[in-house]
Amino acid sequence: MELTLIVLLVIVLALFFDFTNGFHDTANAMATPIATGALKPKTAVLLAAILNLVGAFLSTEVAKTISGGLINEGDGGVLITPEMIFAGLIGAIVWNLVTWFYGLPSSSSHALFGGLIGAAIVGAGIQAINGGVFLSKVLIPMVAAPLTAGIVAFTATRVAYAITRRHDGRKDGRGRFRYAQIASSSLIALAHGTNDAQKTMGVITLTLVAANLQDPGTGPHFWVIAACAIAIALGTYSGGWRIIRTLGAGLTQVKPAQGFAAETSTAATILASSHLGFALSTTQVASGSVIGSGLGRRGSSVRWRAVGRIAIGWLFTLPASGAVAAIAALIAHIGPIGIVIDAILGFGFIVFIFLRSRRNRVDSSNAIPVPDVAESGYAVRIRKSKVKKLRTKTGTVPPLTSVAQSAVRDDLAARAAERAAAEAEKAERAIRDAERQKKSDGGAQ
Amino acid sequence: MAFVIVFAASLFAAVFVVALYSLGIRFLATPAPPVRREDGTFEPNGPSRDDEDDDVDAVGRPRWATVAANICFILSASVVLVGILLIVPALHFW
Repeated sequence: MELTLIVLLVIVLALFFDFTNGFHDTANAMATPIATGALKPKTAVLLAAILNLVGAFLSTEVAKTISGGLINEGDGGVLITPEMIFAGLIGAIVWNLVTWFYGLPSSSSHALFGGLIGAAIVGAGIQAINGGVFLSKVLIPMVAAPLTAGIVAFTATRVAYAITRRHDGRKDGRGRFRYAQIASSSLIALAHGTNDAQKTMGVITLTLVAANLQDPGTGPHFWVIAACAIAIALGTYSGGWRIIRTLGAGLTQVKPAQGFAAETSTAATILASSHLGFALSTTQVASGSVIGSGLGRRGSSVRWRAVGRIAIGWLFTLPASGAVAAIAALIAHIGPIGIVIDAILGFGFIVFIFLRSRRNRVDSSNAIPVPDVAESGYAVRIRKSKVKKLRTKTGTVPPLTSVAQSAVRDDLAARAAERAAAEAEKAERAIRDAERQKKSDGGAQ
Repeated sequence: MAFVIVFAASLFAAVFVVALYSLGIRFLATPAPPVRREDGTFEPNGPSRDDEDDDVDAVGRPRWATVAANICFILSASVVLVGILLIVPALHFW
């Protein structure tokens, strides 16, 4: 009875984690096409959801170990129990929801690893952690992913603008990059579905094996594949609009050429890394690409305050999800009552975050400010009524997430500074003209 | 070392695709060639849409530019196909 309960809870939690993974990572593929108007917001998330669904069925090469080697599992190591997985999933879900609430793109894989590490430390001590793998699979990629993607996106953006630049003042046709954006973002969504749904399939399969409900060495059951595919697709379709706002408009203003360069860099980096055995986080790669493309376009600026917040979020992903998982594991050690308490607390937290998020709602209509989309030359038509809704008396936009608020503040300050500089220049020019006029009048007399 | 290889491969692939597509866009933005008027001066915006000329297509852009642009777009689309090939394990038959 106890075993059945915990297995059932792990399956439900794993599927919910898959769902959070989906809405957390929609932004990786679709933030920039939405920001440039290449795709309507709802069309973008529908496309991403379909590709995630398809991607989940394309590969079932699930991981042989739940922690990817971070925890010394198996012979002579730690026996990862369903309770540990349960606690780890709670840690990962809580962190995913917190970062989503604050609009911070963070790695769901790292949250899951952090959760499992926290639960494993409570169950077996610090020696359960494989330091070498931690360094090579978490710490080095955390620095390498945004750096690599950033440099690649910077170079690609420079190349795109250099090639399409026109010196004769004619139209450069850069709006056509929007069509390519659809292809590149679709590629990222497909890759995401293929990679990330497998994690949950692996978690469920290994739990079933641990509970003697499945033979060791066999692949995931079809119902596991289908459930994971549907969960990640539903999560993706629900949007994760707060993170879309941060990646699409919070870091830099994205133009079509920039967006295409960023997405191509993300796709190239993810595909190259996964095929050369140096797996990088999709979220960190996508964030790095957007920053790199922002630096690559002349006249564009990167909001470093938002970048700093995201970096802090990445630094805290492992310890925070680990700490929550450790607490959950401690409670779970009490026995079946502890597991029920964990489940109630977890469910309560999910409901709390959901209700809290409704106070400051971000959805498809206000994820990216319409004027920003219009400014980058949008291809999609957005109804005028929605444009009106977004405008307030001060000319800004309605309540935003904290990251987006700081981005809008920076943007407004930059625009005010630009206006002041332009006015000063105008005044100076008027004075110079007046002096010149005076001189010429004097000469004529 | 793995990191350096990933970096080099990503840089090459991304810049290659972006450069190809950008070239395509640049070719599409090629203006119509100036046309000499009867009085010897040049018409700056090229022939009008009604003019029939083998070297330019319907919108006044030289035909070679349209062909070159399409080649660039097809090549960059084929790189996307390579990406799909890399994503789908069932297609890893080499």
